[in-house]
Amino acid sequence: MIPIYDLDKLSKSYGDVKALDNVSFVIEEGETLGVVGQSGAGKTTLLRILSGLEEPTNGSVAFRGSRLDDATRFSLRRCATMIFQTPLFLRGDVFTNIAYGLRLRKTPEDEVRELVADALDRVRLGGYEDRPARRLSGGEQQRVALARALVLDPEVLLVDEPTSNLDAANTKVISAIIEEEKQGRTVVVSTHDLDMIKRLTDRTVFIERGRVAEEGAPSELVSITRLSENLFTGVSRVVEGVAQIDVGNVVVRAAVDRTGRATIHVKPEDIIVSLGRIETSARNQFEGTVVGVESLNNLVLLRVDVGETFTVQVTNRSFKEMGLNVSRRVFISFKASSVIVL
Amino acid sequence: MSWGPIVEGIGEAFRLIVSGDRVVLEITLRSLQTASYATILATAVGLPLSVFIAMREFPGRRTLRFFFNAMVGVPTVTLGLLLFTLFSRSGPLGGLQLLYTVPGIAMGQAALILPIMVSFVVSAIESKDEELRDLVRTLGASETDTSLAIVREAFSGVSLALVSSFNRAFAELGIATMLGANISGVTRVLTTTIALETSKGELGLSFALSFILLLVVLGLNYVISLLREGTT
Repeated sequence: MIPIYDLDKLSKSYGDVKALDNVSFVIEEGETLGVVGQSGAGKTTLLRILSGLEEPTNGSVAFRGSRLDDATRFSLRRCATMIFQTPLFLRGDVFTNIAYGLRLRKTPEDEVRELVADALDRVRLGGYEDRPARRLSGGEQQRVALARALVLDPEVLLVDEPTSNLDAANTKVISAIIEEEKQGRTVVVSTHDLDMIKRLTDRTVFIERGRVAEEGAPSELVSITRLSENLFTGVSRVVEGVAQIDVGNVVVRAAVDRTGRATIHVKPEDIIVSLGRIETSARNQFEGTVVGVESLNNLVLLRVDVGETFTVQVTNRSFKEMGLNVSRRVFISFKASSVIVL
Repeated sequence: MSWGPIVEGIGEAFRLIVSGDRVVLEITLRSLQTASYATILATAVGLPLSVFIAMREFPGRRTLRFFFNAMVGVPTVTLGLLLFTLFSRSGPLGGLQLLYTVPGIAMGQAALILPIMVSFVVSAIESKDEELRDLVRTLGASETDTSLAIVREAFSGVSLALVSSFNRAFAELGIATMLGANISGVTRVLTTTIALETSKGELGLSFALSFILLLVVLGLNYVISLLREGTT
């Protein structure tokens, strides 16, 4: 069977910046593909190309076996709909917004009304037709954006970080809706919500600096398993050029310019353990207790509770020499630049 | 200098409006007529042109934008003089016999307000993010649908452009004088009459007509502001 998408040595540059670099893989009809990677890795660019909004600088994309060009990109957009990270609305109420795509397709008005009502029911917002779209809450906006795409019954649904700005409750609803709606279509969802990836997707590509670093079932991906450690979500505010991300019980400093909700990750090997407070250039230093020890070949993974539990990787030798063990008081330090914002 | 003419003018304006003075009505209507024609003409050319400039990449785009921005401030007499030369019997467009006619004035005013229209509309469209374009495109909009949607989203800015253009055409004097020559009953409009009456020393009547001119401008702006509030 011909795959629905066939990406061949795809590259996309914006000026000097290479957003995608020599990306090749296929997407099968009806599968749900996850796209994971650091913020800025090229996830959005990939989805934009798949949606026909953007053309690659080099390489090619084939949709159902035929290579995309300016003319076919328009036909592609008629059957592949993208949902953006930040929902955006046309002037007017929810109805006008959801009806827009149907009206472009010259759907009769009485049918439009039925389809809009049905789409709103599917995103659990029945009866929201007359609400002004731009005044809805964040979660409701993202659901209306979903309804606006679903009402068109697209063959391909491209969802770009649908929950990155939402709280846990809304995230749950959105991911439940996607799970229901993925039946009978091809879905590509970019997210840093690993639960969503594991639950929804059959296959996931991990993108790193514009390249596909890994590809496979989410449970098999080393990058995903590793990423599951030290993953925190919180609210970031920038103070003197350094983001301070309050992830609940600790405030993590990161060398990024990001405000609002952020999900961060620190690699276990980037964290230093010391028995006392050390003078260091690392912007993050927390005191806590070792609550778990796990041996891995010649490495040891420590779980250190500093309010939040961090996983720290040390060598077997350091572990022995420092006399580390459960309930030992330690300090952990890591640089602001080691904090990866997803 | 006394305040006399102003006070007298207010009273006179009131009297002229209430009594429905035929001459005043005629020149007011003619002012509205030329400015309306000019606005329609400028919109017909300016709106598609603005969409093109704002949404397409082509060589010379920046130069064109700069040109229209600069032309917003063109002196009306200079433009009037240029068009007078073009429209005059021996001029390149003399055969069209536009000189000293209402369509002639309207075309001149259209040329005057086209840069205002284009500058305002281009900014209004550009202020609508790229993202909005992507949104309508992913929902299946063709290039034409996209342009229509963006102009609709930029409604507030576009309506401001229309009103400003109309106001400018309605209140300008230079082109109406140069191309119309203030011929009574043919090309006489509010502004040319005000200039004439002032030169004759009829300050009261001049003020009266000025107040009518202002009333029309204020009334129109009020209506448009209501429309804009109702749709955002």
